[in-house]
Amino acid sequence: MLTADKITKSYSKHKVLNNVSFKVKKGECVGIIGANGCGKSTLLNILSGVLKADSGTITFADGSLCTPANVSCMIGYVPQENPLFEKLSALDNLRFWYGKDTEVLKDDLSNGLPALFKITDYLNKRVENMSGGMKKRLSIACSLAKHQPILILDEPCAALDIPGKEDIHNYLKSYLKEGNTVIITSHEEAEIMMCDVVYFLKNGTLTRIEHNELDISQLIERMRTE
Amino acid sequence: MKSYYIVQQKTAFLHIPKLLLCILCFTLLFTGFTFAGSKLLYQSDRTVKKVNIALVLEDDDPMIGLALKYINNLESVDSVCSFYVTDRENAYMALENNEIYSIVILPENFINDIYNGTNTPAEIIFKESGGADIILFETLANAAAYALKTAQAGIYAGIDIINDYELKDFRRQIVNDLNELYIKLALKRALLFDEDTVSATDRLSLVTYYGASAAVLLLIISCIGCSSFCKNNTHRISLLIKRHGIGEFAQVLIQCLALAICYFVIFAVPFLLFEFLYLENSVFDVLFKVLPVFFILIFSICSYSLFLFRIAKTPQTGILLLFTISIVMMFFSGGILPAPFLPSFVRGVGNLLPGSRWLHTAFCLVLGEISLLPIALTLGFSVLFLILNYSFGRLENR
Repeated sequence: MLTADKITKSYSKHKVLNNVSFKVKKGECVGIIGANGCGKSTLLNILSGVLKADSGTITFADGSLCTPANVSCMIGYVPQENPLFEKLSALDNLRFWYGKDTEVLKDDLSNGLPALFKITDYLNKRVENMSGGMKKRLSIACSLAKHQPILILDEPCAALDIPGKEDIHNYLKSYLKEGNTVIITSHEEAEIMMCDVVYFLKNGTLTRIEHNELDISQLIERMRTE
Repeated sequence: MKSYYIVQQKTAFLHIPKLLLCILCFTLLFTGFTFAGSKLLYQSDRTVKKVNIALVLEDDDPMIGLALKYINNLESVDSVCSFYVTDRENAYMALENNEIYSIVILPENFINDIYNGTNTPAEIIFKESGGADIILFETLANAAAYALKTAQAGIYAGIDIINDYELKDFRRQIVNDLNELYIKLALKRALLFDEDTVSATDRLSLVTYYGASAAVLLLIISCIGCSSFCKNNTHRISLLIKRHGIGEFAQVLIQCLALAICYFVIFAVPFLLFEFLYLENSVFDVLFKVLPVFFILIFSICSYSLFLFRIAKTPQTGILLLFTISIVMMFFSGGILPAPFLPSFVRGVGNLLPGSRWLHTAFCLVLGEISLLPIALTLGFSVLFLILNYSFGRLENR
């Protein structure tokens, strides 16, 4: 579905990503874990087209390069910081991210993701008055306005309560069941265990960990020692 | 882009209550300062002191006494001068001690010499190293003397005509007419002078000048009321919006436009009332000349405010920056003290600042003299601040 090839990124003299390469298959759930500040968010930003890599390429399954023109149609991105306009209502936010697709928004409000997340219950509520869980659900709904086949999430359940986390996890499972692809960074065990493939990012290098080799305590140890 | 504009405009409009509160607070503050300042200014001792002149009368002709009485009773003289009679020695001493402005010495046979045509002159003595007011008085006295000379020449010319053409029957009439004409003109010197008002505020009255200046400062400072709007989107959100197809410069421009329209909505009504009721401009002029210029002024100020909030890390720092820089800028630009009162270096710097352009545009709006150059410069500053805002954002986000 997506191939990242020799991605390099530096901030000043500090190399955050050093020739990072990996492949994501269709329908796969890929987790990227690592210590705080290791470059996970940077990698996701590059994959989703928000940031530009210093070098390297990202290509889709059909061989096309990931460009600013096609990235938003292929990849939905939910950053850690909710991409919402705090002073406006849920509906205004959806309208912005849906853009010209007003008919699609109308359909989705009836039986799409916004309906699934029960956003219709608080459509006219201002974002600044919403709980963390509601904001996250709205963020995901806004990010998937174009019904993209790939969803990238940066610590989606950070600062959410247990019911909120459960809602997100259930949604991701159903999203994956539809044959879509998820790339996620997380510190949550439940989310890591949900992934088919886990990559460990440290010192700018990505190491693949197969699911059957996944051991949380070992991972913690690796984060501390390597 | 349209959807982002709608988002920004809605967000801006939501700040209107805070903006109105801010405007109200600062209006009250400025009014208070103006009131206190005007009280201070007009309480100071500004009475005009009379000019003291010593008269040394060496001719004891009673006509001099009568003439002196007549002159002292003239309002134009009495309001400005006071004469007192003394001897030469005391007069020179008083002049030396700066008690008097000048000495007028009427020599012996002064009156008889006028009758018999000898025309012995009176002496007017000024202090050699007098100050500016004495020099001024000397100049006025010289002007008066020349006026009298002209009157005298005119009267004698008239008398010569009477004698040459033997118009003895008309002599009394001619003499009376000439006397009335010339003496009246000579003594009423105010008729010979034009009133020319020189003001530090040029063609604007003090009230209008400070009103316009306060309005500009109010436009700038009231941005504090929507500091949360002015504090830009975070780096991530900005990049996400860019990913959505709205470039960073477009984001800056749309934010500025939304804020300017918000301001315009608030200030349009009082401004229109001012234009129609106070300045009595026509509807055509207001709609097609004045309002667009007013919008450009607002847009320029908004672009400046947004830039300051961009370079500030937090809305609180932005508020401090906006307040401090704006007050200093307005001082340099002649918005707090008129430019003629400022040192030349300060004036020079002030001319380069956007504050002076905004003030100039505001004055043009008040005077009804809208020309291209001040508008172009105001627009130029808008573009500059938009570019700086965008560039600073890119630098930050690297």
